[in-house]
Amino acid sequence: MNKILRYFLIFSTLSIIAFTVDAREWPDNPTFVMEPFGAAKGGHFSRGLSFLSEGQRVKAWGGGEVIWTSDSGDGLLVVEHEDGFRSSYNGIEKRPDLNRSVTRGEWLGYAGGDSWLFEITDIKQSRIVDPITLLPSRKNLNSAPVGVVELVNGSRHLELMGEVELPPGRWTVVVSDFLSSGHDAIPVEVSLFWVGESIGSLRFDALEESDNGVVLETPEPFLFRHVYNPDGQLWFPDVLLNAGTGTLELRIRDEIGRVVSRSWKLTVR
Amino acid sequence: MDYPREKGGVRPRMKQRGVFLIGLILITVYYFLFPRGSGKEIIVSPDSLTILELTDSAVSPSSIPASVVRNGSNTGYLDSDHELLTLFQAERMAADRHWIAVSGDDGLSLMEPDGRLISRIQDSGYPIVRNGQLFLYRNDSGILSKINPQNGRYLWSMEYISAITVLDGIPGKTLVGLLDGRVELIDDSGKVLLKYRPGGSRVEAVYGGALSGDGSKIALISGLDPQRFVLLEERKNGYRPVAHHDTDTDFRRLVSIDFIRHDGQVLYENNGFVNAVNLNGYGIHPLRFSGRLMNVIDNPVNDTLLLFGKDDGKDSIKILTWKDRTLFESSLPSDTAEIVRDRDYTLIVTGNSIAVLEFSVR
Repeated sequence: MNKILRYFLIFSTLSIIAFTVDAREWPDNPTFVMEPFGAAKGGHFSRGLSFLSEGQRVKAWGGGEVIWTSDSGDGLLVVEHEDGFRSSYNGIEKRPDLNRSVTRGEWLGYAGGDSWLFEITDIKQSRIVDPITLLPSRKNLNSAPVGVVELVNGSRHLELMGEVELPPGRWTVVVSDFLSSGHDAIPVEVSLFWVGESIGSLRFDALEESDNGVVLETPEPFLFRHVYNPDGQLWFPDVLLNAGTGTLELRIRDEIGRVVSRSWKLTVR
Repeated sequence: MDYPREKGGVRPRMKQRGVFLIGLILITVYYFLFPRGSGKEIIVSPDSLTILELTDSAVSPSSIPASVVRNGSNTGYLDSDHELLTLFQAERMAADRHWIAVSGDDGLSLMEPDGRLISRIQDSGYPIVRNGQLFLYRNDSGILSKINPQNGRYLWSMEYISAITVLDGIPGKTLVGLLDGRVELIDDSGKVLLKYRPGGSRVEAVYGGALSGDGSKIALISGLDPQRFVLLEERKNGYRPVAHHDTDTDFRRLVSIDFIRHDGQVLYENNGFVNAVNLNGYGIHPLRFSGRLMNVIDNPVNDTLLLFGKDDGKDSIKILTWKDRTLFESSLPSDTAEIVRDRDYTLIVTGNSIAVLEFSVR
């Protein structure tokens, strides 16, 4: 009996998730994504998906009620949805005859400027969430690129390729060019392992306010400067490499759950 | 009782009543049918018309221009005769009589009105001016900063996950309203003096807000279903709500609200009206006004209000008395950007010109 109940609960949960995602629509062409959620953007985290603007029509992510329109500045339109989310369309020119109530996929306005930003806020939990987790899955995507990985110690920079020899000490692992656009899958989690043990993991799930500013929940709250270096590259600081031989492994999980891994054999002496 | 009859056989009390009724009818007919003097009339005297174009004249160093006007991508400084001294052109600007902040690709340049550089800030965003206070807002990051315009130094920065809908400031205090329904009051050291959520509505959001001239009162328009007016007043134990009412409106955009009559009244936009709330007793005094209220110029001396509004792309100006008597009403060019008061003059700033009028009431 318990088994039947458990299966029923799992089925119900999966149905609700499937229904929630299916009740949503991409607000723009999925291949127009320029920058993903959580990316480094001039000293702060990107708060949503940035889309290329070519004056195309922007559509409602889901049905709801228009609660804010602003023509000044970059042009902001906000829709409140029944399930506690608000979707924001920042940088669009509002459709003149827009009703207060909108249906999923209804066009809201035209993309303006060079790009426009799509954000989703979870009102109940007061946080901005990664829209990619609440959008229908994209198809025919390339794997997320692993990018370039460097070890940095003071002025010493070592780009990791094949086998590397380095002195022991505390190093910073810098990952660049891993955030993709267009037909590449968006990474949602980046993890680093040294001799099989996790030394750091960053998940680009949500942003929330803290006393010190907006932090990335990973699930620990991290400020921008703890996640990115001043050049906007992802970094894992203070990685202690003791004398010996081992494998440093970088794993990237993308938006559709695939994991891409790359490893390097390090000789520390 | 038998009354003595006069000629025509009408009793004296009935005659009196008849005369009174006929008088009343005549007064009523006169009141509704015949024009009458308002007790006040307005005289409009055109003063000058200035074309907003780049000029060879300049603000002389260390002098303070008489007024500053803004229109889209133009900011102009005028002398006391309303002659254009200098014109700055940029998409993102904020200006005061003492400084101008211009945002460009290389950051924010803070200058004197004569163009001399005060400071350059390596930060981009929208510069905003409120009562001589300079703010920089980056809407892609939700970061709002207050900057000292005398030296370009940051006084404080706040990072919000919600969009900022309301910003008002006086020296020492800044009011921030957010789309998620929160209100914050911040002092110049960056300390948050007040965190408040008006609540009471199905949809929580802040649609309008103003800070009184002395910073002791905060007026808000908040929420949807119902949309509410809320007034907070500073008491010994902090700011406390002292009055609130439903506004019977459903605006989903910024709602104009301001303190007028030396902070004795709050005026806010309503459907077909502007409502004045008396802060002594909190009574509501509606004044007829159609369209979206853009700005208010209060003149307590002659007891008039100048209202600038936009309605379906049509711009208009209306001057009315506190007793809701319209003294002047006119349509304006559809590209009217702002209306500014300078001494006894009213400056109407349009897409390419500044019309200076003198409104006098007698």
